[in-house]
Amino acid sequence: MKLDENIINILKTDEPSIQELRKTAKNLNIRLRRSMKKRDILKEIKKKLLELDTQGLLENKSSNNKKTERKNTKKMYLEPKELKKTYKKNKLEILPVNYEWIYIFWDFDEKTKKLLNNDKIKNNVILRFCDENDFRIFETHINISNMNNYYFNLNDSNKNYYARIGYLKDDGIFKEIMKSKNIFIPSKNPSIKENEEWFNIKKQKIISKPVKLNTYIKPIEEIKGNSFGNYSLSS
Amino acid sequence: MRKGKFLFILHSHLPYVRHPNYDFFMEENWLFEAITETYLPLLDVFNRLEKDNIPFNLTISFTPTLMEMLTTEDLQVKYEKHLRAMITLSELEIEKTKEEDPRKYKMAKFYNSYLERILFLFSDQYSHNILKGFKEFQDKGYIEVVTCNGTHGFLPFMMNHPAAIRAQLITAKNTYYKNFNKNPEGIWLAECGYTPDLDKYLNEFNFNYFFVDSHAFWYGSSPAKYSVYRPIITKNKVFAFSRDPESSEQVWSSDIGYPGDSRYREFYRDIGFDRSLEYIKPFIDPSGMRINTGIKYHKITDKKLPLELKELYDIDEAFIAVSEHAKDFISKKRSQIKRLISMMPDLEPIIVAPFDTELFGHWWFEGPYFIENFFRELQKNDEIESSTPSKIIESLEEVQMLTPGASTWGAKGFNDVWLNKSNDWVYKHLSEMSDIMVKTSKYDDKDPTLIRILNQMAKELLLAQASDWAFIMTTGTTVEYAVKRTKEHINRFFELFYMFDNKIDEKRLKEIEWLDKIFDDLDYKIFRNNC
Repeated sequence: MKLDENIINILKTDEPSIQELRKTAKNLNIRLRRSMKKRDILKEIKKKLLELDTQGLLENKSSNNKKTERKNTKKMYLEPKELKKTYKKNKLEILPVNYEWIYIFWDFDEKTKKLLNNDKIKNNVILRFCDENDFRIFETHINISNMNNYYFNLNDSNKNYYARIGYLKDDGIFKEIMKSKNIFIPSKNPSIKENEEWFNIKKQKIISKPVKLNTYIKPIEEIKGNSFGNYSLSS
Repeated sequence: MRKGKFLFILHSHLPYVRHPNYDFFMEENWLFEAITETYLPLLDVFNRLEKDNIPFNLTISFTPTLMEMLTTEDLQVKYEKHLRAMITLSELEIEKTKEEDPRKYKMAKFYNSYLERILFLFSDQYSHNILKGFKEFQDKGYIEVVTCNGTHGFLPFMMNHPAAIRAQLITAKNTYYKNFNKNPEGIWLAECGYTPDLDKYLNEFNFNYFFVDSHAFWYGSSPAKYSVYRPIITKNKVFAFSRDPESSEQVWSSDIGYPGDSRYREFYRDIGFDRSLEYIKPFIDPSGMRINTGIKYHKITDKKLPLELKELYDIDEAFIAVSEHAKDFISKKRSQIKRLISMMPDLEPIIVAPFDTELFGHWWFEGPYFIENFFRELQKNDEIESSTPSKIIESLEEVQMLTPGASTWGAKGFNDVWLNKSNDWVYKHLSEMSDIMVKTSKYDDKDPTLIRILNQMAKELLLAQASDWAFIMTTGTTVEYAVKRTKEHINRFFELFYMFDNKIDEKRLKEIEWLDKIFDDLDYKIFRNNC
């Protein structure tokens, strides 16, 4: 059936009157009860239109007819624009992958890039990872001309780490260019303590009790293995 | 006599997929399938249990993206159109299968009445908004509905961007309030992603509890004394519940889980691929690409068998399997509770069993019937009863205090799924967008157009943060779509940012607002607090 423009216009308005809706319903051969409220009539009309549409019996200028529908669905889901390779700002950020691997990415503003590309410096650019107490420090040389992110096997879990990018000066002193915020490297082991803490809800009080491991329900963890030797296992 | 408590937790989530500029968009079917096969069948299970006076408690999360889709009129209209088309297909199938195997004919009739029932629930009983149904059951005290991070953003990767965490949590809270008319008690953290100090933010927004994976209790600041069988409280006074690996494996495991039984319906054999193209064309992608219709006539038979050799499905045989499995599961839980009671003097063991909601019905067609049978069987025994996190918390007097370990419920238990060579390119952009959003959120003028631009920028950032895109890039299912969606949101964000600083293109702004119309009441100022 061809859908009357008026019906579309009525349905588009925020406040069609009950008379308009009754007339529309009549045109669509919908049987109404006297007691029906405006909301119920509108629901019935929408239901009918959906039915007609599903059965392919609806044509109207305002919504897509079959011709445009076919065209529409064949329309390409357009390829988005390529994203920027650099935001030209100094940035250094670490994300933990698991208890041994971390991912780090960095970006430089023009001034820093120019400095680090200096012939004297470019072969001495260093990336350092330091634990929160600056007790353990790992370092590696990085080539900033073809790298802006990297995965590192830190293998030191259950603590906070941060990263620093800089270069080694002639006197061997590390000159920091930028520093990341701390991130927490997940733990891979239980941390047995001498005391356990309990919170009394009624008293809103923390109570410390000595740990008695024989009273603990101990988890049974899965273990990986194979019969082909002790090379690195992939799960 | 001490009873064990069983917490059935269902996590319902779909990424925000809405393409108002297309009459048909294949990925919108994710939502339509979930409504037809999971959400409405679950509500029907609740209806039947209530009618028969069967007590049941269950916790279900709805992510804000899913809540927004379920309450969006254009998607509701598209869904009804899709559902009516499926009913038409089931009618054709009744005619067609008369000439084929009687088992197919039986199933065709089953599908027809099943779909008619779904239409009745969707259209008449819940007036197109199925969240009303879940609200009703929550208000009656049967279920507890919890929320989730706004766009299912992966919070452990936002620890250096506190404002981004807050924005995810504020949208979690506001969207929930809009639909359930109260503040959420609990939150399901997307991907169960937790890292120490996240509880600080949960406390800030008054979340009373959250869920973690098992090893969060094993590798925390100190081990949980009762493993995963009692909740703990964090330093910031938020309760945490941890997943019971035993229950998960019994139901979820692809090797030994119930859904792999030979009598259950085979998910991958669908008439969308089996029927002639000419016949099925009106019911698949208009481009002619075959897709699942939800009408399936075969059973698993044997997991190793190729699809073409699968035998025909019989729903009555599957119902027998459901009944057996529900009884078996209860029996396993009883044994587990007995074992735990012997190890926990004076305390009730609490078994927390979380699952993706879509497992029940969508992936495992008989899943909702399993849940129904489970609760029917449960009321016959006096050793276990179902409960909810809030009820458990109310009964606590003393609780162990610890910091759960960094963890997720993804493969390998950490962040590998969301950060690897296939998806690491995303994070540089998300970080930059967060920084820009924090800066621009300080804008305090009254220009309504600039405010619209900033609100839309906030939405684009939230949508780009959805963990689904990184997940899909790893699993390799609809990678092209995930990559495009990510790039689109990033591009739109920067396009808007350019408008904010330079020339406003009103027409384009309106178009982006129409395309990514989520969180109507979102205020860009939620990004202001970055401490």
